[in-house]
This record gives sequence, structure tokens and C-alpha cells, in this order.
Amino acid sequence: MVVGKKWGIAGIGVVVAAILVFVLWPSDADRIKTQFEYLAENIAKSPGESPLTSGAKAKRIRTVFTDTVTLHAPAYGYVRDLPASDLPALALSARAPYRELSLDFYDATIAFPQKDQADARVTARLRGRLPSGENVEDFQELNCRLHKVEGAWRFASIEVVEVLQP
Amino acid sequence: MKPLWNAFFFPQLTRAYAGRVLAVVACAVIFFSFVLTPFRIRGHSMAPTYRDGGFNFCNKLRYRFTKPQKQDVVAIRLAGQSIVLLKRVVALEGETVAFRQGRLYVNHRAVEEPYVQSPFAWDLPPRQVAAGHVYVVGDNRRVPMHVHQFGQTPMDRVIGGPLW
Repeated sequence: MVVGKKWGIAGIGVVVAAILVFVLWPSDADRIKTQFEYLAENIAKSPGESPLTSGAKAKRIRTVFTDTVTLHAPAYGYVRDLPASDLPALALSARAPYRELSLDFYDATIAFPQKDQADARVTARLRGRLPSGENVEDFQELNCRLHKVEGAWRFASIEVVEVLQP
Repeated sequence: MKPLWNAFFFPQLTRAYAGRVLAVVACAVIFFSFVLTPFRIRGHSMAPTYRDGGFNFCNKLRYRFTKPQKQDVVAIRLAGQSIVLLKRVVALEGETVAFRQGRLYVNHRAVEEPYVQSPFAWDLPPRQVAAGHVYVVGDNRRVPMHVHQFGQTPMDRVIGGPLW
């Protein structure tokens, strides 16, 4: 009975240690998923958000991108290299028409083609409510390239995948 | 009669009983994850055939051994299967698709579409469906062409079809 108790305690200890390892030393894939969550948090907008909060969120968005970001939407023939310093203003103007906004990412598949480089494929779902009360919803498959810069994963390019080609 | 009733609702928690419960749960998880996946319809792309807020199951075995056929309603995956598009197959690989004044033409012949009501006057020049692709469109053509998601997609994106 005492032996069984010891084994039980040892088992619990191993499980706790394993959880601690995962929490304290997340894998690169987990760090990338955290960046997606951070991006979603800062793009989201709650009703009555103050201009100060909007400004702070827009500034935080800049921190998850590399110095230059490539945006590519083949369906609209849009390819553009943007300096990350332009992103806060772009985010502010994109969020402005909405009273409420939320962004969620699903089904992330992450590959590491090279050291300090990752390719993440996700489905993004954007839901918004306009001041008129009209609901807007869009979802797109995104192909994102991230680079590890000074220990942090940052988005270097985002491509909208054309699932249906007219 | 009473003991049976009691045994059904208040069974003895034996090892065999726990095993049966686990087996039922495991079978249910496998069945509803890989065979019939429940989903909620959002949006109006397939109206009036499938309405916003409706509930259905995606039959993932439907195209395991066969290919989608014209008029089939199919589920198309995006990056994964959490969000899928529900569309109708209107043309198969190698065929030519066009819209003229809201009417669908496949291989230059007009197609009867009883599921489409009061279509907008879509005009799309003819285009050929690539090998290994299907051409899909929603049933709701009451909207301008540019706001409706449609087009050709690789067959491997088709994960099944609605159960009803």
C-alpha cells in the first residue's frame, strides 16, 4: 500500500513537471499561435472603445510584424510591401467603420522550412458590427510567413489564399 | 420491473460498466469526428436550399470512393475543417462554364437550375475547369456576382456533403 502511494505521488510529480515544461518553455509552434492570438486581441474592438485604447492597440499590432510586411491578395491582384511603421495607421482606419469587431484564427498548420522561418496556414474569421447595426462576416484562408527576430516570431508576409477561383 | 428500471438509471459502477461507457464515448467521438460531423449553417450563400442558422451533418464518406457529380452540394474546407463552404457543383473538370444574363451555361448549353430563384443578371465569360477541379456556385444568385464566392476548387478540398 505504501509502495503504491509512492508510485502515485511520483506519477503526479511527473505530470506536474511535464505541464510546467510545456508552460514555461513553449515550443515554437505554440509561440506562433500566441502571436496569432495577440494579433486577434489587438484587432478586436468592443463597443464604446476609447480613441486612447484604439491607438494603443494599433501600436501593439506593429510589434508582431517585421520591419517590412508583404501583403498579397491574388484575387484582387494586390501585392504590396508595407513598412511596419505604416501598420498602426492602416489598422486604425480599417477598424474605424466598425462599432464591434472580432477576429478568430482556426486550424493553424505550422511548418518550419528553414531555421528561424515558419509558414503558417490558418483560417481567419472576421466578424464586425457597423454603427447601423448591420453584421458583417468574412472568412479567408491565410498563408503567413513568419521570421524569428531577436527571439520573437514576427509576421513577414500574409497571403490570402484563393480557395475558389472564378 | 422496478429493479430493471433501477439498474438502467442507477447502475452499479463496476469496472465493466465503466468500460462500456468509455467504449460508447470513444465510438461517438470517432463517428461524429470522421463520419458525420455536425455543423451549423451561417450565411445566405446556399439560400433557399439551406438557410442561415440551419443544422446539418457533413457526410465525410460520401466522396471517399466516388467523385462529386453535377448538382451535388458539397462541403469545401479552408485551412482545416472548422469552417467549411457549402456550395453546389455545376461543372466538372474539362467542362466550360459561363453565365449570361444570370443563366448558367455548361459546355455552351443552358442549364436548368430549379433551385435558383430570381437570379441577378450575372455575366461571366466562358472558362474551362482545370483537371482535378470542380466548379462550384451557391444557390443564392439574388446578389451581384462580385459579392458571391464561387469558382473552381481542387477536388481534394471537397470533404463531403450535407446529410440532407
